[in-house]
Amino acid sequence: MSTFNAIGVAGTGVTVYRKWLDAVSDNIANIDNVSRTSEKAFQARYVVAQEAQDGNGAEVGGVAFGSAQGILTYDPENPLADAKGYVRRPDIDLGGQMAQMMMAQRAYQANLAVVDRAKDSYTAAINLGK
Amino acid sequence: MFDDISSSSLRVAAAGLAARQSAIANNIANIETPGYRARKVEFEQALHGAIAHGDSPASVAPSTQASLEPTRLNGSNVNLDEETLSHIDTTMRYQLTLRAMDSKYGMLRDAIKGA
Amino acid sequence: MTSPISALSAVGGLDPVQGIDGLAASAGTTAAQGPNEDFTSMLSKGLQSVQDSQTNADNLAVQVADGTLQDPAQYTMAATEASLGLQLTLAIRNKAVEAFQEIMRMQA
Repeated sequence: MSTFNAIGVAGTGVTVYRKWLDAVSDNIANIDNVSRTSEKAFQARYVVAQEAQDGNGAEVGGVAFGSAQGILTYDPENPLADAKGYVRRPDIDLGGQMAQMMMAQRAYQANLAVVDRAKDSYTAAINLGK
Repeated sequence: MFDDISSSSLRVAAAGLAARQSAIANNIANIETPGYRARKVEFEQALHGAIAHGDSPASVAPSTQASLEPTRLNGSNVNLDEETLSHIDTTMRYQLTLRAMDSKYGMLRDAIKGA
Repeated sequence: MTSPISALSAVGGLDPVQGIDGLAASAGTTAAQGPNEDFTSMLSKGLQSVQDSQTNADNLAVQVADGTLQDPAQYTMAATEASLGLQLTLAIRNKAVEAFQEIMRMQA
């Protein structure tokens, strides 16, 4: 997409923020997953964004995972509870995840706005001199 | 008269971009179809290679291939962001290509009419 | 205040006999750098620049076709310049032909 470069670059941003939104929604969906103390708790997923290798836009450099320990909760009624009555809950803060979701959504929309305005500019360039 | 490199390249580009438009429409329609592989149209590399080699661009034809990207949960490997942006890019490049051909025809017409 | 008669004789170029000779003498020498020569070179320079701008627009058109063009406005500007340059050259040629025909009509 080198002719309409601004659209391609904004497109990489759109992809990164969509992956971030996916990760956040995955975290929120699994926020009440209970696991045994013998297993790992559900780990929150964080998307690591970095500048693209070829200098055009952004890309997802990798994924980082949150704590595997989770939070030890005393819940003897739970079928997964161990001998002492503990289970692991994921160490995910709903408020923090909602804040991240708002940031990701804002960034996603900003990149889409760039695409839109770049499209207008390029259309004007195409119709030049007509 | 219409066989010069720029005219035949523009003709190939117009055909390729039109094929890409219909491939994108197909991909977006099949975004939830299990087992669907996104279709990608290629012609830019072939065109660039033919011109660099000195061959006539008229010999280049757009080719459609299945995308090898990883599939999503529903079995389809269509990436909606990519298809949407590719659609915008293709539409504008098509407009620019048609504008280019129009400009060439217009100049010939001016020469014929004697302005 | 000079007297009117001496003022008239001071305007030497109005002397009829000398005037016509002067014109005949100059007709031979001005052909080399007169309006005709300037117009020819102007026309050929104009044609050359139209040719160049068309070649430039064609090269950029090939870049449009294989997607390597960096800035779409460069192509549209080059195409507009080529088209306007051609129209301008044609207009100049038409005006020149008109003027020539006008002169031929005068002589006949």
